[in-house]
Amino acid sequence: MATRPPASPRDELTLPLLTASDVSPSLFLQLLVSGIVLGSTYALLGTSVSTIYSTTKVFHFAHAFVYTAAAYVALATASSLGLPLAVAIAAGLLVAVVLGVGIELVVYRPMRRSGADSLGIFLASLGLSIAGPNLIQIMFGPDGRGFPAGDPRLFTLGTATFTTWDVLTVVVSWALIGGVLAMRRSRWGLASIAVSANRELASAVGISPQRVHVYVFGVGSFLVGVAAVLFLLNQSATPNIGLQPVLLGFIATFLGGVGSQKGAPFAGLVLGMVVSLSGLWLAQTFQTAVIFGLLFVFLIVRPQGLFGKIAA
Amino acid sequence: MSAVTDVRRRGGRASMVGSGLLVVAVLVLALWVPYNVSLGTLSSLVGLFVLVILGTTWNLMAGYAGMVSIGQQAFIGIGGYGVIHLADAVGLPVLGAVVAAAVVCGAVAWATSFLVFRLAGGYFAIGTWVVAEVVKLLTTQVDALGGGSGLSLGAFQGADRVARVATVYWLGLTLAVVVVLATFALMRSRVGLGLTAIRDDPTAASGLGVPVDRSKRIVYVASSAGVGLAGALTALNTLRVTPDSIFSVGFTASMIFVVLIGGIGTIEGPIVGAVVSFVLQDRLADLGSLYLVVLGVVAIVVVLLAPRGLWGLVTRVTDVHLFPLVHTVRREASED
Repeated sequence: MATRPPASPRDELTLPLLTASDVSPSLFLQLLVSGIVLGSTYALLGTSVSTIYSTTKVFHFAHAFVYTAAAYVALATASSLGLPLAVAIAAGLLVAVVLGVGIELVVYRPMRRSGADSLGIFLASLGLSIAGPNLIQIMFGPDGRGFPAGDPRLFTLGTATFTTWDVLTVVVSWALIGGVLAMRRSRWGLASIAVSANRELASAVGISPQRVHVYVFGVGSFLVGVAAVLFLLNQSATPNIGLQPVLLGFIATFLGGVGSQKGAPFAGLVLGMVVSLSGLWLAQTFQTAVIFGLLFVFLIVRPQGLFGKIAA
Repeated sequence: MSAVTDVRRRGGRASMVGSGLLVVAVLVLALWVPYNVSLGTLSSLVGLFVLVILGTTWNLMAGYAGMVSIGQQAFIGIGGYGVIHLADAVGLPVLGAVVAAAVVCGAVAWATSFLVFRLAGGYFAIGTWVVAEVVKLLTTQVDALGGGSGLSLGAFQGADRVARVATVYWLGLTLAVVVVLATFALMRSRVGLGLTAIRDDPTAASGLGVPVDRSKRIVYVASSAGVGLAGALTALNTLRVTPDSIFSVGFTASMIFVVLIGGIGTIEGPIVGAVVSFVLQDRLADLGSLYLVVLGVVAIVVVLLAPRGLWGLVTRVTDVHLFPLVHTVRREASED
C-alpha cells in the first residue's frame, strides 16, 4: 500500500528497550494519544462482544467472520463496484447485521431447539469462524486490500501527532458505546437485561428470549461492523483479520466483568492505554504479552472482572 | 424359583467383527500399503496418522473431560521444535527425540495446567489460546530455535529417501495405534470412569469422591503429550518447522473438525472423522482453502443434523462398538 499514508503514528514507532530514566515526555505523550485511539477500538469491540455474550452466553467466535465479511463487502463495494464510500460503509454494516442475525437464526437457534449444549454451539461457532474467512479468501484472494479512503489530515498536539482517522475512530466508537448504554433503558434494552439475568423468569413475564437474541445479535454485529470499517481506514484487510479483534473483545469483556455493560468499554480503554504505554519500557513484540499477562492476572486474582459480581 | 440377575457385558458379536476388521485394516496399512503405493502417497498418509492422533487426543479432553481447548497447537509446536532440537543439537536418536519431545509437552502441560485449570468452559478455551500465543512468542525470541525463521531437520541428512519415508510412515502408524489404544485403556480404567462422571456433572462426581482436578490434569497432560507426538511426526515428515506453520491455529481447527464430524465422546468417532477429513483434504488438495470451507460446512451440517457425528449414526442403527466402553445391562431370568 505504497500510495497510502503511514497507517497511523503508532505503527511507525519502533521502540527500543528503554529503562525508566530514558522515558522522554514526548514519547509518553505520543503513546498516550495512541493509547486512547487503540483503547477506543478495544472498547468498541468489547461492547460488541459483551452485548451478545452477556445476554446469550454464546461464545460467538463466528463474530470474527462477521467482522471480516463486513470489511470485505465494504471494500468490494467501494473498489470493485466503484460506489461512493458512504454506500460502501452502509453495505458493510448491513451485511454485518444480516450475517450476525442469520447465524443466530440458521445455526444457533435450531441447535438450541434440538437440545445442543453450549459446547456444541461453541464448536459450531468455531467451525463458522474457520470456514467463513477461508470462503472470503477463495473469493478475494489472500492478499491485503486497502480502502480508497483518501489521505487523512495530520494534527499535532504538542509533540504528539494523530490523524483525522484517529479522531473519527475515537468519536464514532464512544458515540456508539454511549448509544448502546443509553438503549439499556429502552424497551429492548431492559428486555435483554432481563433475559441476561434470568432467562426463565424473563419468559414467564412475557419477554421472548428468542426475539431478544435477535436484537442483541443485531446490535453486536452492527458494532463489530463499525469496528471493521474503522480498521479499514488505517490498514488493509486480509481474510484473517477477524480473529484477533474478536479475542480482544472477549478479553475486554472478561476484564470488565461479564454482565456489566460499562465494564467492557472501560476495560477496553484501559487495556489499550496500558498496551500502548507499555511501549515506554517494552519492545513492540512484547505488547501482546502485556495483554495476556493482564488477562491471566485478572482471571486468577479477580475472575469476575472489574465490575462483575461474584455470583455471576 | 427364578431370580432376576443383571448380566453385564461389553460389546457383542457385531462389535467383535468390527474390531476384527479394524485390526485387519491396521495390518493392511502396516504390511501391504508401504509396498504398493508411491512414496508421495506414503508421505501424505502420515497426515492421516497425525489427524487420528490429534482427533483422539482432543476428543479425550473435550469429549471425556469437558475441556475445550483451542490452544493445542502449542504442543504441536513444542513437539515439532522439540524433536528437531533434541535430534540435531542434543544428538538424541530420532525415536528417542520423538519420545523426549512428547515428555517435554507433558511437562509443559502439567506446569500450565495450574494456570488454565482456574478457568472453565469458554474461559478455559481462551486461556489455552493465550498460552499457545505466549509459547509461540517465546519460541521466536530464542536464537537457538532459529528465531522467526524456524529450524530444519538435519538428522536425516544423507539417509536414503525411501528408508526415511518408510521409517516416518511406520513410526506414524505405530504412534497412532499406540495413542488410540492408550486412550482406550485410560477410559476403561478407574480414571476413565471418573472422567465420564466429571463430564456429566463435576459437582456430583466430586461429591462421590472422584478426584476431579487430578483426573482432569492426567487427561490434559496425556493429551498434550499425544499432541506432541503428532507435532514431532509432522516435523519429521516435512523436515522443517517455522513458528507460523507449526504453531498454526489450523491444527486445532482440524482437531475440532475431526472430532465433530466423527462424533464427540467416542473413541471410534475421531478415527472416522480423521479418515473423512483426510479423504476430503486429498480430493480438494488443488483447491487450497476450499478444503477448510468444505470441512467447516460439513462439520456444521453434521452438528445440526447428527449432533453425535457420523459414528453416532452408526451406533444408532447397528449397536457396533469397536472399542467397547459402555456396559450393556440385560435382565435375565435364571434358575436359583
